[in-house]
Amino acid sequence: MMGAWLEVRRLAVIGNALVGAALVTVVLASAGESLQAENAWVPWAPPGLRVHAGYMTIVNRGATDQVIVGVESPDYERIELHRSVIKDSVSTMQAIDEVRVPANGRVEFAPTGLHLMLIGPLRPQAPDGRVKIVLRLSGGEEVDVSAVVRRRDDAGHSAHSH
Amino acid sequence: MFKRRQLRLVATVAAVVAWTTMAVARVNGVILDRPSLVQAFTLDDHNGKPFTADSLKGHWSLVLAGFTNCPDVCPFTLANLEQVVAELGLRVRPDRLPVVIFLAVDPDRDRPNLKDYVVQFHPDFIGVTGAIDQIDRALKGIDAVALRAKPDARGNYQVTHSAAVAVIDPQGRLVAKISPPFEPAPTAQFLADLFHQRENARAPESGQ
Repeated sequence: MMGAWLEVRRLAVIGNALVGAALVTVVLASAGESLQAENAWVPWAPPGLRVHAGYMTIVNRGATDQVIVGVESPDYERIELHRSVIKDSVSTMQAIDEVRVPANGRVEFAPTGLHLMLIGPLRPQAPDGRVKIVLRLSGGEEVDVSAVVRRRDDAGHSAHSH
Repeated sequence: MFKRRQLRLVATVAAVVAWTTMAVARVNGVILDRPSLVQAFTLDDHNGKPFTADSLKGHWSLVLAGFTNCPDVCPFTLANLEQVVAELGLRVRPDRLPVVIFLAVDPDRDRPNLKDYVVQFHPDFIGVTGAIDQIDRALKGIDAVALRAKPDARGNYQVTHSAAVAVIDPQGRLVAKISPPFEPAPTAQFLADLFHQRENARAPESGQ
């Protein structure tokens, strides 16, 4: 537990050194809630595509596990929790019911792994636009996430991959 | 103050370690013992023009199977291949750069969006699709599989497909396969070495 906390501190310091005030703002703004989503993004997709992906790091700074049991967005018909599995060089996508974020831990939603499947966009996506995503927790709590729409080749996100 | 400085040192070390880890070359490439000719198939490209096994000849090709309702693995692969080709541009002559071909295995859902889906990664990428039996022939030719699951109550269905990228030589033969993670620099180097090796092997035939 202590190690995870130190890890968070260390990352905060790295972030501080690299991007200055930005991460500090995130940390301050999210203080008081046990679960936060960081670096949430939705890869830009051309109009007409009915299925998009959502990625983020979910950090649990609380002392109890949190379980994400549902995801919603006013920008999409519905959202599913999915996991891509590449096994024996064959790629499969599995819908999953819930994602547990351990106390003082983190869960990565990242390409070719755990991801949000955003189905049926209700309005056109624009690069640098925002998508509102709501994570529903098993305790009834909701976590608001603002994901940025970004091209996959945008250099910005690689700096944050762990 | 001292504590803060210590933290900064830790941060610097961590950043250096992270950077070094990122730079470690990773490529999952397999070169076939014997190249196998891709057997005849007839599909259409994303502009509606015929695309056959002969369309694979005269240039190197990288072929991957996928579908446009695939939001995670397929775009990840296509985005990486765009970077691989860009890296290859630093290593090989322009006429040896491979054509990237996305074999869309879910034609009813893929046709309307195929062009938009493919060219978002690079304007020269080619999406191809067609009748299921012809798709299956093309899949066999690149030693890949695709399974379309039964639709659920909402009419949605999943498609399971090979994650590997097939490398086709200018004679239209499957010569190698690359599997994820497709890191651009090492993958480009793998391909550059392969192209070079094949060109040298063919040199005596061409009278040198």
